[in-house]
Formats: sequence, structure tokens, C-alpha cells
Amino acid sequence: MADGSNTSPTFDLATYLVASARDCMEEPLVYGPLRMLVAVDMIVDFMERGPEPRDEFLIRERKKIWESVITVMNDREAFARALDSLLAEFAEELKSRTLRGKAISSRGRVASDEGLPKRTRHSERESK
Amino acid sequence: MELAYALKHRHMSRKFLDKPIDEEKLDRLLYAAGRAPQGGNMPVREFIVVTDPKHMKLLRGVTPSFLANSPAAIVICTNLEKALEVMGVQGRDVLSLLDAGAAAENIALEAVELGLGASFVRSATTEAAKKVLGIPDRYRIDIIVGIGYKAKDSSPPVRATKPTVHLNQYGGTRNG
Repeated sequence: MADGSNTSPTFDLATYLVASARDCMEEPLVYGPLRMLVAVDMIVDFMERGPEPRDEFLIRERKKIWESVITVMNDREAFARALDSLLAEFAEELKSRTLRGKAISSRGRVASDEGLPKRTRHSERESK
Repeated sequence: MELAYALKHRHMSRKFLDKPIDEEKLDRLLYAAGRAPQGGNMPVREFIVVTDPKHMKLLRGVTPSFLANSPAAIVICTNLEKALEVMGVQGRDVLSLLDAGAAAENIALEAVELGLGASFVRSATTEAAKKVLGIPDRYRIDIIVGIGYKAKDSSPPVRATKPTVHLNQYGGTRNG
């Protein structure tokens, strides 16, 4: 690691999740979702600093997590709505990547599956 | 600085600048903490000042509720053996916690005076925090106070709260 310590992003995340699991036993219910969102933030942060391809969707969503989701944490209903909205965007993205072959290019842009190895799509399998 | 100003401007900060706090300011924060009441007036409360980035990483790593990125922290502990000896069970289990809270608030008020921000952290993972900071078993971590220079957008607006007050007996109306 750059700071001279001998940990890794995976280890840091695992430690955070284990500590969160313990913390959640005694914390208010709403802190559980908060801890999960912070874990997402950590994952995206690792990705941004690491060698793997940038996922622009995750980078955009990370910003939203802090700007529009966590800020309303003290309003349970608004928090649930914000999480619904966040999840809807993830669901749409998952659907797009899974069914329409949307993929992440190494240059950080979402690309179509042109040029990727030929594979059978769910929709094709279903129609057979 | 007027106390009223510090009371008005004290709030929990979440974002801090990556700028170390000089020793003189840390001394003043610790002086303020030491001026807080202490049951039996016996030194059962102790402070661990964490400024080393690696130790801050360790502390934050096992304290999920430590969301603030402050460059330093003051960990307020109680020596449980000594607290039991000088204040009894109530002193160990209740009074020392109140005293730790008072010390934390003094730190937060002094931080306003010094142009700093503070953030209170309480976690169920204090046993892990004790381990990474080398704190002996006979101590209990009562509260962690993150300290640093506030970033511009360090905190959401503070909610205006009006205390619930009863006059003379529960349900008694004050001011009409």
C-alpha cells in the first residue's frame, strides 16, 4: 500500500464489514443500510484507484449515494424513497448489461457488445 | 469568545481538511476536557490522542460509525477498576459515562474557540478499537471525538431543537 501498511482493499473492506456486522447488533435499524452504502463507496473508491477498468455508472452512483441518499437518512420515508430510486437505477443498469450486452470498456466508457466474443443472450435462449 | 457563541456554533462536523492540528491546540482541547466534572474528583478518566495516520486508519477501520475524515481523534476512556474502587458500581457504570460525555462536550466547545470541528463517535466495536490502540482490558472506551479543521461543507444544517421542559412536576407548563 502507498502508506506503507500491509493491508489490501479487500482486507480493509472485509474488516469494515465484520466491524459493521458487530456494530449493527446494537445500532438503530437505519444504520444497517448506511453501512452497506458506505461499503459500496469503498468498493467504488478501490476501483477508481486500482488498475481495473473504470465503471462510470458506479462512479456516478457513488456521488448520488452521498449527495441524495445519505443526506436524508434521518427521514426514514425519504431515505426509503432515495434507496428505491438508487436501486431502480442499479436494476435498470443490470438489465441493460445482462440482456443487451452492455459492457464496460477499458477506457471507462460503457460500450455495446460489438467486438466481444460471441455469446448467447438471455433473450435468445428464452426464444429457443 | 462568548460561551453563547460557542454553544450556538458547536455542531458535529463530518468533513475535515487534511491538515494536522498543532500541539498547542491539542493541549488546549485536553485542558478543556480535563476541566469537565468527574465523580469523586478522582482521575478515572483518561485520554488517548491519536494523530498518527496509521493509527487513525486502524481506529477508523474497526469503527464503522467513524464516518468523518478527521486527521486526529481523542479517545475518552474510563479506568473501570479505579472507577469501581473510588465511586462504586454506580460510579463505574453510570457517573463515569456522564463524565466522559461532559469531557467530550468541553472538547467540542473549545474546538469552536480554536477554529476546529469535532465529531462524536460511539460504537459497539470498542473492544476492537481497544485492541488496535493497545488499550488494556481494565479500560472502557466511552466516546471517541474526531478533531480537525473543518472543510467548508463539513456538516448538514443543525436542526433547531426546543427542549421539552416541565415546570415543578411532570406535565407542569412553563411560560404559560
